[in-house]
Amino acid sequence: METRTESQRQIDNTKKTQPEQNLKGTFVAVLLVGAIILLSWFGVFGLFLGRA
Amino acid sequence: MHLHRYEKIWLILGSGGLALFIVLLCVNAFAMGMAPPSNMEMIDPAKVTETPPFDNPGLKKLNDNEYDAYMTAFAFGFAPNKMEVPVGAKVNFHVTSPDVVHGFQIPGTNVNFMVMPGHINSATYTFDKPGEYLILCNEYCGAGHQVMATTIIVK
Amino acid sequence: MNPTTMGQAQVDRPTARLSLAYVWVAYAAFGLAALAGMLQGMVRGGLIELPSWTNYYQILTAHGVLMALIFTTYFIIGFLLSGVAKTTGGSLHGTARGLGWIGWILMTIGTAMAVVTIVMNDASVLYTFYAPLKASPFFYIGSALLVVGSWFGGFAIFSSYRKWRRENRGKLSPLFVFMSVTTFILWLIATVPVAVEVLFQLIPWSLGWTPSINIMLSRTLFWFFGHPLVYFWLMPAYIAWYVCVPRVIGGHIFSDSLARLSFILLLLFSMPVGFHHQLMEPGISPGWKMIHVILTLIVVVPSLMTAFSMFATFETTGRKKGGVGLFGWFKKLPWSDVRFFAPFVGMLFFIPAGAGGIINASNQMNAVVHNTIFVTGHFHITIGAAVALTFFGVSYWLIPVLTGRTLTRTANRMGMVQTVFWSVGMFLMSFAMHYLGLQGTPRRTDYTTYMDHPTALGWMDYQRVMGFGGGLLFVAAVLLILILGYLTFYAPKGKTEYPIAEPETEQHTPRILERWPVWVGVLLFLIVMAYGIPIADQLTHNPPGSPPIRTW
Repeated sequence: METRTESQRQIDNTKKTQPEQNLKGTFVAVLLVGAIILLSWFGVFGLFLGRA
Repeated sequence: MHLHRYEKIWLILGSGGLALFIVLLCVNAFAMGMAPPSNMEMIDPAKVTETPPFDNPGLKKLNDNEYDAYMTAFAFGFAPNKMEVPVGAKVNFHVTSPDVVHGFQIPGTNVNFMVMPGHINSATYTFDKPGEYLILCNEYCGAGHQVMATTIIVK
Repeated sequence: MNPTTMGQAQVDRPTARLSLAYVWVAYAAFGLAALAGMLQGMVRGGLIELPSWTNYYQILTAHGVLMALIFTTYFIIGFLLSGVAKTTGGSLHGTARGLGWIGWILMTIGTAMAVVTIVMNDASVLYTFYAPLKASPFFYIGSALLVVGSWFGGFAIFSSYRKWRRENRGKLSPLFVFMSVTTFILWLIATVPVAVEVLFQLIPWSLGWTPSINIMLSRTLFWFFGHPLVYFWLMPAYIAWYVCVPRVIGGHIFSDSLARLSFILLLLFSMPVGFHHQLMEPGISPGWKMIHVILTLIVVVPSLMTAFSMFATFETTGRKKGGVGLFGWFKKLPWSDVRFFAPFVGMLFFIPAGAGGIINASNQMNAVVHNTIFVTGHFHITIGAAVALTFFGVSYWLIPVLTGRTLTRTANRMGMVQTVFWSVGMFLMSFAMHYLGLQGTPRRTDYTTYMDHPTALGWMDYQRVMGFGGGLLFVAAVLLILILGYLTFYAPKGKTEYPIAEPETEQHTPRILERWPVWVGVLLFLIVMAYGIPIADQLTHNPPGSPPIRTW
């Protein structure tokens, strides 16, 4: 019963905020992707500079 | 076209990161002289063994600690077969091929380039640590590709 | 499982037969290629030795050609033809089907020719066939037929698209069709340079009609094709991610217009970038290399957009199913449904794969990884994991749709096991490859210790890990073929949904995105800018050419 009301509220939220949906999780996830790209790039760039 | 606010931020950050990579690469390549090996010299691949200095491959001493290494890469080996330089020597490798495409790589260093028939390719490395450095071919060149290697001894 | 849309047109019988013919040649090639790949891994790991009637480079050529060229091209055409049929009313009209079959016949003749020359050891030139290594002329003619045949697959899609537009004037095309058309415009333009290389350079030279070949030009033409080739593999996986996966999880397309925009960007910027495969070569100036590097990094942007769209689809769907908090939606995704799980794992692999790709393309930094086994690791997690797992995930529903059967619970569970084996095998193998590559281990090299050089001896432990990963991958490949055989011939008859998602709300998509002359014009302009001067230079300012050489 409780989960139903919870999900109901979620749907209401989405409707209200359309088209600005709640994408906080998405934002954090893509930032993690960006961090992986940055870290690995600088890692190899460091290797390159160290071997010059 | 609607962009979510977070997507705008993500794309700005992402493009900014890529732009940062480009700036660092340009500064390092063009202002600090670290551009990739891109020698534009050419040679007749059928006449490598009669074209100086490749008719007599080997080390040419330029001064106290700088050498030119003129080398050929062929199926399946390198000439000269052994080289020796003192610790701290700066070696300019100049390599060409009389037959197929080869690679020239010293693992653990940035010396890694393609050797193509008709072209001379070059890279420079300063050997600060003693040891026997492996030089290997890293472009498939035929049945004996896996034995195509030599060493440079740094004492 | 999600509710199926009963009564709606799926794919009619004649179209299904065509699509299935493509998909099954793809998996036949895949099976042979997986065997060759496993053997390579074992040899490289020092675990087995090959019998004297074959050699490492012969099976390496077989693996590369069958996996990267045959499996991918056949699967892509089979998948896209079925999806175009599904989204334009359930069938391909006669002309499109005819074109599809002409393509299949040409490709199959070409494939047979190439395979025979490889088996006879007359074509151990690897799938990049770099001159002046000279294969049998029949290898090149076979490759040309494969490419020309694939064009007919594209013509079939264009023909269906034109028919749909004539009948639906002023309407926005279905997203699946738009993306398929974009993919094949890319393929048609990208294969022109390699066709020029094969038809005007390699075939006359291998037949002895011309004495020598311009090496630099042949390599530039090859890589002009070689990079868009990888996008030709990737874009159909993106189609599954954008259009099919959201439906599988019971969600919607996040943004129709952004999906289209990302495909247009992929079309434009995947082409003028070939020199990033030639960064360590002589004869190309550092300035031109840098121009291609910059264009290469621009093509990352549509993938950043795709990453956001995927997570956003998952988050909005998971939240509607009651997921709360920052990541609660994540738990609400259908984790036990292989149609979602396999492509999702593929997406995860694409994160390090993308990062590695940026490293490879980073101009002088390429010296760290060029021609090392890092590169092999990189494309095994892009094409071999991100793309392949997506294609497996698609096959698990596509084959039942085409044969009028169902993906049973047991088959689904076996598919999950198969996905896990493939993923673990690929993870172990490609992790070892990335690590070894950074130490300088070369790619495409038979087992060797370089006369017991300590540097090379230090690589052996990780080479064994590669071999072990290859073994797991082979188990997964056998399992996959068995499951797909079951789904083709034995699974219970029934209706299976062809998952096609739609946007949740009416969305405004700018019409400019479907104005092809504009985009093809911009693309041709970019190509001329990026390649005009370097190719003119290679044609006029070149060393004496090379005669054909056979070194195996």
